[in-house]
Amino acid sequence: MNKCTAVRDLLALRPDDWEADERIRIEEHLETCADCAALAGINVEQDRLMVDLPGLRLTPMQREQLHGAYPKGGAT
Amino acid sequence: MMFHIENRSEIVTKPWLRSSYNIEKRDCIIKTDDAFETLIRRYEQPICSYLVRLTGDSARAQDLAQETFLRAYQALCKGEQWENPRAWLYRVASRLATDDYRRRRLLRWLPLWSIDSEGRTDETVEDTTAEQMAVRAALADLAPKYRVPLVLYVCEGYSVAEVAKILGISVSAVKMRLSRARKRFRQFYQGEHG
Repeated sequence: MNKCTAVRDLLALRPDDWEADERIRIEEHLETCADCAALAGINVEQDRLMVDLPGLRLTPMQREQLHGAYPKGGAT
Repeated sequence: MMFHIENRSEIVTKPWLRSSYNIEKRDCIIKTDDAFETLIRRYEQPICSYLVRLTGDSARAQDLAQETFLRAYQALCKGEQWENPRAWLYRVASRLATDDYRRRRLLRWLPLWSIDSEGRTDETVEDTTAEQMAVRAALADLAPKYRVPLVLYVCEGYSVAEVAKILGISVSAVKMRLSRARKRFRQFYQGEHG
C-alpha cells in the first residue's frame, strides 16, 4: 500500500478517530502531497453537504397512531 | 403502510393488564408508556432524518421510523432495558432500512424527488436544491453496507467504535467501509455535480 492510499483510508475518518502516530503521519503527508490535501478538503465539504440535507419528522397522523398504540395510563 | 394496531389490542385484552389489583404491573405499564413518550419526543426527528438519508424517500422513511418506534414499544413491553436507547433505535432503523432495500432491490430505492409507490408526491420537493439532489443520488448509489455506516458516522456523529457496535461488525470493517463509501460517494457526486 503506498503512502497516498494509506492516508486516504485514514482521511475517511474524523481526526478524533486517528491514533497519535496516524495523526503525525497524515499531517506530514498532507504537507507534501497536494492531491491528498485537496481530498481532505473535499471530504470536509461533502460531510457538510450530507449533514445539511433537510431533516424529516413523522406525519401528524403517524405520530397520533404511535401514541394510540398503547393504553394511556396503563390498565383500564 | 398502515400502522399495526394489533399491538394495542393484544395489550388491552390481556386480563392481567385489566386487573385493578395488579398494581405492580400497572406501574410497570405506566413506566413503559413514559419511556415510550420520552423516546418519541427525543428521537422522532433524528430517526426520521436518518432514515430519509438512507432511503432517499421521505414517505418510506416515515413508515420505517414509525415501525422502529413500534418495535421499541414492543421491546419495552417485554421488559427490555437498554444501556443506550439511541444506539438501539439506530440499530433497529438501520436493519429495517436494509431489509426494506433488499425487498425492493429490483425497484431500487426511489429518489426523494419522485412520487412514491403509494402515489404520494413528496412535499419537500420544492425545497430540495440541485446540490441536495446530487447528494441524495450519490448516497442512493451506495450499497447499504456502505451507506449505513457512512450516514451513521458523518450525519449522526457516531465514532468508528460506536458504528461497529451498532452494526455488529469490527472496527476495521467500519474503517474499510467508510473509506470505500467515501471514494464511491466522491466519484458519483463529482460525476453528477462536478
